[in-house]
Amino acid sequence: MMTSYVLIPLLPLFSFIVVGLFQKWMRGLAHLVCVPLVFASFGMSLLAFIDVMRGGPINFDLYEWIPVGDFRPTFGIMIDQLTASMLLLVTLVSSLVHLYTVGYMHGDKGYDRFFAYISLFTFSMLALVMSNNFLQLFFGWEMVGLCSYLLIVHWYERGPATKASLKAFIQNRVGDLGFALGIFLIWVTVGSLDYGTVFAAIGEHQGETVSLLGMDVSVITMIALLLFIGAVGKSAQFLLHSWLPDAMEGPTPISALIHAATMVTAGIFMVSRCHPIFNLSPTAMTVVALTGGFTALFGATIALTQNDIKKVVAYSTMSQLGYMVMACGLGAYTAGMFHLLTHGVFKALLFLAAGSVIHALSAEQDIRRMGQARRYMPTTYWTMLWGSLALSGIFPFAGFFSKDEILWQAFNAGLLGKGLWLLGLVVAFMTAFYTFRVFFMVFYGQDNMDKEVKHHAHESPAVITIPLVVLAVGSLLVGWLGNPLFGTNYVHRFLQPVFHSSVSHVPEEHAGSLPALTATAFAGETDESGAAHEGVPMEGAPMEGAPMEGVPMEGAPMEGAPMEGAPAGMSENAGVAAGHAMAAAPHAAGAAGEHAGGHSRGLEMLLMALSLAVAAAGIYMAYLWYYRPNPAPAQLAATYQVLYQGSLNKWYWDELYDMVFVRPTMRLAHGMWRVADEIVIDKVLVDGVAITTRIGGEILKFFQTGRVQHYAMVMSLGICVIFIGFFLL
Amino acid sequence: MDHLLSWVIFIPLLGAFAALAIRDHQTVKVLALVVTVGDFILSLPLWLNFDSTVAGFQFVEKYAWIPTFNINYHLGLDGISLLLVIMTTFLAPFCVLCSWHAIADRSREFMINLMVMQTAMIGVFCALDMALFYVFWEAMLIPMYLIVGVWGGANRVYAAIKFFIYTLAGSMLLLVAMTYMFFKGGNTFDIPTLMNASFTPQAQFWLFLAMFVAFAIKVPMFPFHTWLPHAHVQAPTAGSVILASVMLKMGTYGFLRFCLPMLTDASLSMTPFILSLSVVAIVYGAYMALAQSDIKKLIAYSSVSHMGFVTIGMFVYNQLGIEGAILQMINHGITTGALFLCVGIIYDRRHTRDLAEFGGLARTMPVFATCFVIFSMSSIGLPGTNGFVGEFMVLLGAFTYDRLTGVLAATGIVLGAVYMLYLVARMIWSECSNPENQKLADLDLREFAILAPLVLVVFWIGLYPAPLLEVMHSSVLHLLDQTGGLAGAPVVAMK
Repeated sequence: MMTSYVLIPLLPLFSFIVVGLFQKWMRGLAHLVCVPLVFASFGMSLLAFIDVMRGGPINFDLYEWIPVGDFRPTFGIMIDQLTASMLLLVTLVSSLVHLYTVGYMHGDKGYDRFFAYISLFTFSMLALVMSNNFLQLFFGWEMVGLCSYLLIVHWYERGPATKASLKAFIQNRVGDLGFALGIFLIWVTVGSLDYGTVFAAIGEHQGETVSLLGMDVSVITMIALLLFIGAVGKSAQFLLHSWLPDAMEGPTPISALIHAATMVTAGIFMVSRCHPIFNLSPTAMTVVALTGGFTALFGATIALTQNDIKKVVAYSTMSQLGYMVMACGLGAYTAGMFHLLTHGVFKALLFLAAGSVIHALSAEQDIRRMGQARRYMPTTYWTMLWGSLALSGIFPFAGFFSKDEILWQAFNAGLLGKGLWLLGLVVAFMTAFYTFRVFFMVFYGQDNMDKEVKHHAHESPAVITIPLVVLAVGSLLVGWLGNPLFGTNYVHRFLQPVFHSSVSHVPEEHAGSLPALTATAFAGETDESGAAHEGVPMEGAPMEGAPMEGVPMEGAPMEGAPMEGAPAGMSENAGVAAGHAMAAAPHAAGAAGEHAGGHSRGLEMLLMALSLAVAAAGIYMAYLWYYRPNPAPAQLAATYQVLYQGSLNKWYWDELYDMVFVRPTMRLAHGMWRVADEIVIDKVLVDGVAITTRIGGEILKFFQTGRVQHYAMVMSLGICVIFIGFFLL
Repeated sequence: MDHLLSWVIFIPLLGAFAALAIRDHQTVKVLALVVTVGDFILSLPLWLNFDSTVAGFQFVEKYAWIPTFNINYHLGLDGISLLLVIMTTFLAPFCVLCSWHAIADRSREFMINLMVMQTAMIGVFCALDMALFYVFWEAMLIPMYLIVGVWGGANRVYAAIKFFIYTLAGSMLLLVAMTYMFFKGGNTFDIPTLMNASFTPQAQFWLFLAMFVAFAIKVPMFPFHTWLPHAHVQAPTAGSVILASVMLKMGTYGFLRFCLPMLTDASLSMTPFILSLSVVAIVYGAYMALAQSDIKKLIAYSSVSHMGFVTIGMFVYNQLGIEGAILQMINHGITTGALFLCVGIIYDRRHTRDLAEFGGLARTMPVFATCFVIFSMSSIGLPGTNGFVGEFMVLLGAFTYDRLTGVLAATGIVLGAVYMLYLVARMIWSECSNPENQKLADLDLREFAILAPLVLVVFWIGLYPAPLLEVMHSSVLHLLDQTGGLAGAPVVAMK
C-alpha cells in the first residue's frame, strides 16, 4: 500500500531521470515515457483519494534526511484530505498539460527537454503537497521554483525569457528567505519541524515574544508573517508579484500548469496547511487578508488594459490568487481551497485555450491583431467561452460557486470582511469585464489578423482540444461539489476534518463560553436549516446544533472575543459561534460553521444574485465595447490618460523596482569593488604594507655605505647613548 | 595495512619521485592519474573502517622524530579531518585530468608539483604534531607558488608572489604562536596534549590573534581576501581547483583544530568579532561577485561569501553549526571545484574568461550547460543539492545561537542566487550570437568523466547526507565538550 503512495511522486521523477539522461536519443519521443507515467500517477492519486475518503489521513516517514542531534527532519508522505484534493488537481492538470504539450510543442527544438522539466515539476509539486514536515515542504517549495525558472527560460535565446527567469527566481528567493526564517523560528520555538508536532505544540507558545527592531512581537505572529512572506513570493501577491506576468515568456503549457493551476497556489496551500499557526495570530490574519484583497484589486486593475492575451490571463491569475489569500486571511480556508481547486481547472482551461489561439494564429499574442477567430476554431471558441464564464463567476460554472463562497465568508467576517467583500465585488465586475474584453476581441470584434496569419489559421489538433474539452466540462461541474444551495457540500464535508480537528487542542475554557450565548439566541433556526444545508454528520458535532452563522454581525456580543475558541466550540456546542468569532477577528475556519441557516440563507441568495448581476454587468459592458468595433474605450482612455497609462504600465512597479533595487545594487557592487576592494583594501592596505617595507629598506640602505668611518661613528654614538642611558636611569 | 595513513599521505610523493626518473610527458600524466586514483581508493578504507562512535583520533601513528624538541611524527584522523582527507583524494584525479591537454608546456613538472602538493595537503589534515603540521602547512606553499607562477596567466608572477608572501606572513605568526604554546604548554607540540593544556586568558588572546591572522588569510576572511581573486584568475584550472577546494579549508580546519579546543576562552570572547567579519564576508563577497565580468573572479569572490558560512558555523557552538560548517567545507570543495573545472573546460576552447564573450552555451554545449546549471544550483543552495544541506544547517545553528546573526547571514540565500544566476544567464542562456561560440564542441569523454562523478556527489550529499554526518557526530560533540559543553545552548540569545 505504502509503495503505491510513494509512486505518485516517483513516477514523474522517473520520467524526468529517463528523459533527462537519454535526451540526446529521444528525438521527440519523450512523451512516450512521460505521458503514460503521469496518467498513472493521476490514477494512483485517485486511489489515494479514495483511501483517504474511506480511511482517513495517511502519514509515514521514508527516511531521515539530515540527522544531526535533535534535528531529524525526514522525507515522508502525508496524505490528508487537503493533500488528497491537491493531489487530484496537480496530477489531473499535469496529465492534461502533458497531453496538450504533445501537440503544442510539436517540432520544438527543446521538445524532450520540456517534457523532462514538466515531469520534474510534477514530482516537485507532489513532494511539496505530500510533505509531512516543513523541511520537505521547503524542498518542494524551492524545487518548483527551480522548475518554473527552467521552464520560463525554455526559449532561452529570447532575451526577455532570460530576464523573466532571473526575475522569477530572485523574487521567489526573497520570499523563500522569509519562509526559511519562519522555519528557523519554528525550530527554535517548538524544537521540531514535523507538522503534527508543531501544530500540536504551537498553542503553548502563545504569549512568547521575539524582538523585532526593538519591538516585542508575538512569536506566533512572527512565524506566521515570515511564512506568509514565502506565500507572497510564490503566489505572486502584492510586492513580490511582478515576476508572474513576466513568467508568461515561457511556453503556454507551463503557464497553465505552473503559473496558474498549481505552483502559484502553493502559497495558499501552505497557509491552509499552517492554519493552526495562522489562526493563533489575528494580526497575521489581518495582514494576510488585506494583502490578498489588495492583490485581487491590483491585479484586476492592470488586467483591464493589457493587450497581450497571456498577460491578461496572468494578471487575472494574480487577482484570483488574491481572492484565495484573502479567504485564508479571513479564516475561510475551505472557501480558499475550494476556489483554488475550481480556479485550477478553469484557469488551466483559459490558458490552454489561449495557447490554442496563439498556436493557431502563428504565435500571435496581441489581441489587437486578432478578431473573428471563432470562424476558424469552434472547439477553442466554445471551451474558452466556458472558461471565461467560469472565471467571471456566472452560474452554473465553477467560479460562481467558489468565488461567491469567498465573498459570502468575507461578508460575514466583521467590518474588515465587509470592506473586503465590497472590494471583492468590484474586482468581480472588473474580472468579468476584462475576461470578456479578451473573449470578444479574439473571437468577435473586427478581424484584425494579418493576411498571412489568417491564411494559416486553423483549429488545433485533437491532443490540444481534448484537454480543453475535459477541462471545460470540469469547469462546469467542479463547482457543484461545493454548492451551498442544495444537496451536499462535498468540499466542506471532505475538507472538514483538516480545518476542524487540528484546532481541537484548544483549551476548553475558551470554547465553552462563546457559543453558549448565541446558541440560545438563535436556537430556533438551527434545526431545519442546518440539516438541510450542511447535511453532514460530523464526528463529535451533535446534529441538533448544526452550524449556522451569517447572523447580522454588528450586533454580535463577542466583538474582540478570543477567536481560537470558535472551532472547538462548534464541535462541542453547536457551532453557532463561528460567525461571531469572525467579527472579533478573522475567524478560525471551522468547516462546520461556514454555512448559514434559515434567514441568512435568504441573505446569501441575495448576495449571490448581487454578485451575479455585477458579473453580468461586466460582461455586458465588454459586450457593448468590444463585440463590435466601438470608439468608446479609446475615448475613455484618452480622457483618463493617467489612469489608463498607469494600468497599461502595471502602475510602474517594474520601473520602481528597477530604480530602487536593481540599479542601486549593481552600482553599489561596482563602486564597492572599484573603491573598497581594489583600492582601499588591496592597494592601500595590502600592497601598502609591501610598499612600506620597501621604502623602509630604501631608507635603511643609506646606512649601508661601506665606509668604515661611518660604521665607527655610528658605533661610538651608540656607545654614548647606552652610557647616557645607563647613568641617567 | 598498518600505516594506512602514512601510505595515503606519501604515495603521491613517491609518485613524484618516480616521475623524476621518467622523461616522457605522456607516461608521467598516466602515472599521476594512476597515483591519484590509487591514493583515493587507498583512502576509502579510512572512511569504511572509521569508528564513528569514537570521539578521539583513529589510525594513529606515532614515532619520535626530533627527540631533542620532543617532536613526533604523529598522525591520526577524527571526524573533523576524515572527510577533508577523502575530499582531497577524491578531487586529485580531476586535477590531473583537467590538466591533461590544458598544460602543454612542461606537463611532467606540473604533474610532479600536483603530486607533491597532494602529500602536503593530506599531511596537514592528518598531522597531530604541531611541528609536523607546520612542515606540511608550509610545504604546500611551494608547489602552489610554482603552479601559479610558472603555469599561470599573463600576470602570474605578481599573483604568485602576492599569494606566497601574504600567506607566509600569516604563517610566521602561526609559528610564533606554536613556539609560545610549546613552552607554556609543557614542552610539547603534541596536538592532543595541547588540547588539554590551559593557557591564561591573556596568553590565549594573543595566541588567538596570531592564529586568527594566519587562518583568516587562508580562509580567506574579509578583509584578508584580496590575494584570492588574483591567484584564482592567474592560476591554471587545476591550481584554482586545489586552491578553492582544499587550500581554503586549511584555514577553517585550523580554527576547528587549534582555536576552538585549545584557546576556548579567547574563542568565546572573540566570537562576536568573528561572526561580524563572517557576515560581512557573506554580503560583501556576494556584492563583489556581482560586479565581476571575469568568470573566475566571480567564482573567487563567491568563495569569500561561501566561506563566510563556514566561519559562522564554527563559531556558534552548537552541533548543527559545526557539523554544518564541516559539511559546508566539503560542499564548497565539491561545488566550487566543479565550477572551476567547468570554467577550465570552456577556457580550453575559447581562451577567454570574459563573460561578455559568452552566451547561449545551452545551444552548443547542452551537456556542459546542464552540469554547469547543476553546480550553480548547488552553489545557490537549492534543496536536493549538497549546498542546501550545509547552508541550512549553518544558518539554523546560527539562528539558534543568535537571531540577528542568523538573519543577516541568511540574506546570503538571496544574494547568492543573484550573482550566480546572472552568471548563468549571461553564459548559458541568452542568444548564442558570438560566432566563436557557435562551433564549440560539447564535453568529450575525458571532460564528462570529470564532471559526472561530481554531479553524482552533489545529489548524493543533497539527498542523503547521513553517511557524512554520521562520522562527525562523536568528534563534534567532543569538541563542543572541550569548548565548555555549550552543545546546543544559545550563549547570547539576542532577545
